[in-house]
Amino acid sequence: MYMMDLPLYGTKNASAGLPSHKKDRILPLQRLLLQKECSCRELAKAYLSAAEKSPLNAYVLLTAEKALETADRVDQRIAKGETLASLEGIPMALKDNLSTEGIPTTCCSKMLKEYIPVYDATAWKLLKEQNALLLGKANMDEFAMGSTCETSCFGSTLNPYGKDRVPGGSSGGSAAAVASGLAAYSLGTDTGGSIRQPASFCGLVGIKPTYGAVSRYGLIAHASSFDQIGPMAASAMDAAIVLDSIAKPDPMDPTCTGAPSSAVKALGTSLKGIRIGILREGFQGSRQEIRDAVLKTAKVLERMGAHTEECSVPLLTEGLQIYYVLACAEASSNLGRYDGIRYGYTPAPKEEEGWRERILRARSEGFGREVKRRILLGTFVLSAGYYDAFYRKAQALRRSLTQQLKSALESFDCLLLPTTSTAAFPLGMLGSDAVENFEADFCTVAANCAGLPALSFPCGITLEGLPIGAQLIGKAFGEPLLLNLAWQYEEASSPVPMPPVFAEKTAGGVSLGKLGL
Amino acid sequence: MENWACEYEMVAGLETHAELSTATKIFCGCSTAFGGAPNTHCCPVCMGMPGSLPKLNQKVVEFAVLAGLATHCRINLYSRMDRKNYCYPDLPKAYQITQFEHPICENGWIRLQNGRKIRIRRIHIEEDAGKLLHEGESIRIDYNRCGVPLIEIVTEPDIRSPEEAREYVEELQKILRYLGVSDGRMQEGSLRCDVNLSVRRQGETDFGERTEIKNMNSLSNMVKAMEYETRRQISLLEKDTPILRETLRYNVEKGKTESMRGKEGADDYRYFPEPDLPPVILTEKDIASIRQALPELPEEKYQRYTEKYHIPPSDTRLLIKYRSVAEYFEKAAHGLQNVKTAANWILGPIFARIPTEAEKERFAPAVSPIQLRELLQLLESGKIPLQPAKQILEKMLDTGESCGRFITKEQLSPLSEDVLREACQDAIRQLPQAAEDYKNGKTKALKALLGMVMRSTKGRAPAKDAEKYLMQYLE
Amino acid sequence: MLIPEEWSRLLSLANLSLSEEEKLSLRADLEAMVAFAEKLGDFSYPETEKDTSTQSSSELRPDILAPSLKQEVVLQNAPEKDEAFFLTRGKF
Repeated sequence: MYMMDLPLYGTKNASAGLPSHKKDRILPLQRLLLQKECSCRELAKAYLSAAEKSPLNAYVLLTAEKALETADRVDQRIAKGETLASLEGIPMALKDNLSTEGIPTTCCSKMLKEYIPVYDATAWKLLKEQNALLLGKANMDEFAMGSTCETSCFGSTLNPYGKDRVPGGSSGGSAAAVASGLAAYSLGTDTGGSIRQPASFCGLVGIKPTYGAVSRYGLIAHASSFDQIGPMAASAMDAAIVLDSIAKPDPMDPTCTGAPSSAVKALGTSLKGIRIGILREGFQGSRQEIRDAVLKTAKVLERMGAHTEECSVPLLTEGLQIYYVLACAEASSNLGRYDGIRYGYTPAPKEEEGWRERILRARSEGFGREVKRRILLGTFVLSAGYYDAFYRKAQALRRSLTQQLKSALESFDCLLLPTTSTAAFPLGMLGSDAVENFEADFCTVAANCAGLPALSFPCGITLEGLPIGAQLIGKAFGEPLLLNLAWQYEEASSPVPMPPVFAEKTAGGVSLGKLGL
Repeated sequence: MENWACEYEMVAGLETHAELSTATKIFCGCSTAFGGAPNTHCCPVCMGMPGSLPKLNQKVVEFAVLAGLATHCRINLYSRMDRKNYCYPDLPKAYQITQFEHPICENGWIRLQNGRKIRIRRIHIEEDAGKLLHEGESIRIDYNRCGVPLIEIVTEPDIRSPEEAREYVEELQKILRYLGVSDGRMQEGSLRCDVNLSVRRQGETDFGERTEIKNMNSLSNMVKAMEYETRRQISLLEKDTPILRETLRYNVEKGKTESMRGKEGADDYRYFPEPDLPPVILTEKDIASIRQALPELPEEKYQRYTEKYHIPPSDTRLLIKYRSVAEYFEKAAHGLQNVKTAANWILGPIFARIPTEAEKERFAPAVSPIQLRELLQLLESGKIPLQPAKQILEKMLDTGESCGRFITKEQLSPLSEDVLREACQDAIRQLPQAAEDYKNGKTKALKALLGMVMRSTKGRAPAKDAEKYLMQYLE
Repeated sequence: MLIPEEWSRLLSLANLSLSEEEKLSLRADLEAMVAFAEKLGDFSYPETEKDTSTQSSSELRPDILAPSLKQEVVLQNAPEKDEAFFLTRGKF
């Protein structure tokens, strides 16, 4: 898919070269490269230098050498006048649970601190083949377990909108990097809300695709029937461009069928006749500000021709229990392999210590507290005597919840609810209370349970200046419709302001920060 | 059997694992070939590297269905993979992908010679683990075998003697080899049997407490282990000592079963459906097309050879023991009237040259089935009499050449009537005593005269015609 | 809620060994999580055990060889190894 194929977006400002109220970054950056206003190398250096200086701790590893090699390759192709691929030369970050051959992939856990994969995740490979400019690996909650990015073994990431606030989790680093201008877009992963919640806390567009749209091959598994990889970007257009590149069928993943149609091609479609269900149970527990912002969003979409009406999915309120039982069960099994024999952390051997004792020590020292909690819960719900009451029951309820969502989606094209019931909370607030930690995922887990696509887009800002996210849940493979709704919303509303710490970067004399790039 | 057999009954069920003869592993494209350098048939999938995902090999499903069809199982249109979670250094993912709740085949049987059916409860597919090599205090691990596809065949506790167990395994091996689905060799580890054994008083319907015997590497050791364990359990019962449900291994040197230490209590495997794999869905059409690929099975051949060709049961069993022998026989006998001769010659002179079981299984005699058939046709048409034909066969087996090489033109061309009559008259003249005896009623004396005719015509005389003329002249 | 034997069995199944202090706090965590999950019991649900997914056929791969990794690549991340094998210690 080439740049020229993409539809021009509506504002006249764009063609006049003036900053658009749209927050697109991919097309403008490629334009800069093609118009030779800066070289790809200069671009790479500007981003890398900003990332090095940033106090946000969004990156756990910067891959400067490889980035410059890629940048040089792109510059050569530009010099030869070759057509660029849609994401070619665009600076980006990868969440550190996506396998990158030859580059450490740690899941921000002591257990994998030294682990270097010998193969690439398919989603990354698809971007690598386009000469995507990988700047580094982004911080995350350990093994993607958490909603604040505080369980990382590399320390927390800070929210660009409030330095004492969390960026959300588990894709906290991916969100902070994009929101603060340290990457044009990033790939995150979402098991119970880990793309959408940080996107919401950081004023980004984040989409969890339909289960099976994007290959999971190479994604270090948390919960196999819930995990999906998805883009986190500053605008709906950017998210759509990235999604189109990664939502391809993959023979290495039997659960992946790819996306049947292009998201980018759907942008700009009229909203006339689109039916949006306002999901009543999703608003439970939401702060007033959040509730108001999301309902206002509904009104904006109505003015553009959509029809909104309240709807109900009663089992939504049990989503958390269903999710935690099943996700922890799968996670406890997926994390069994970390025993320090073939890869990963193992402590120095003790005298007369057999393999079993050594494995116990490796896992106990290598895993953090949240990970251990979830492994224990998962082991418990699968164990003899409890399997029926917990796991089997949760499976059945998952089917029921899915059925309810799909029924609702027979009367509506998508469902609207908040992404989170609050805006970004302070660091250290979600303390050690396990159950309280779970509740942060209230609005997001249902889409993972049902395998349906769900998107978060910024729809307002709190009095404290923190972004608010609205969430759309769609029918299976309905990503194009969701992204179009977000794009149309962007057309009709003023954007959420940039965070004060948005990185100043200069490349080839162009002040990228000022352009919002 | 033994003196206890009157009072007690042994009850056993077998769980057999067979390695499938696919080219690649069950969930990835690595080779299943035996004997590669350690850790050279490995990839992210079979190594369980973080982020890897399994993908089921189509041939594994086909082979499992073939095994199920050949043992009269119901093939389940819906079956599913499950995770069996436990920690061991030879298991990279800390779980084995197997089928627990919904196996692919169920409710079949294998019939023994004594007519009894051993019911098969289920056949399911699963992956093999790696190999541990113990060297002093260290363990070295080779993951080449990890991910090799297995089928597990579980019987009901229908077996009533160690000999029945042996026969069951031999029948199963035969079937698996006929299908080309597995080599089924215990010594090489491509067939592994675990036995669940208990005893009870004759006439009892409840089952006694059972023990599990694992890791027997040959059929004869399995039989010995079962015999020992049966005696052990009986002697415990006689002393009113309860039998512990435990896992045992058979110690070959000591000739006894002993507890496998370190298997602490039953592991809780926490089975749950494998989320990375879709269910295995088959249609009736899929099964029908796999059924087309079924070769004629040993029991079908047994029927056909004994009933249609009237080959004695013991000979039939020898012919059908290996598919290669059966197919050789069928090719050689094709179109012949006297199929029995083909059978006899294979089991006699040809088998004599192929003494070992391994060679019989490969079955590649110096003479091809077509060459054999050629000779048999000449025998049948009367062109060559029996003894010379047998001699020619030996020469063919010596050299691998066709019979044409060893038959002279003269031998092939039919004897003229005149020459035959003359030979008969000569024989009567040369053996006057025999001629006299015959005229006096000793019909057996004809044989001596016939023999003389054969010798003088170098075996070319057709026996019936010679007899006719001799009798004429002796009137 | 969980008796001590069940608790230590759980740790053994999960392959985790914990310090006394960790045991105390994680045990409390687990019990809270279990109480939370027990809310599932309030619901009745349809008894459909079989996976009624929309997939009509399974995704199977053909039995064709694909290249394996080189031995040194397989062993690359192993903390303990000799030339060709992964190493661990025997049971004591």
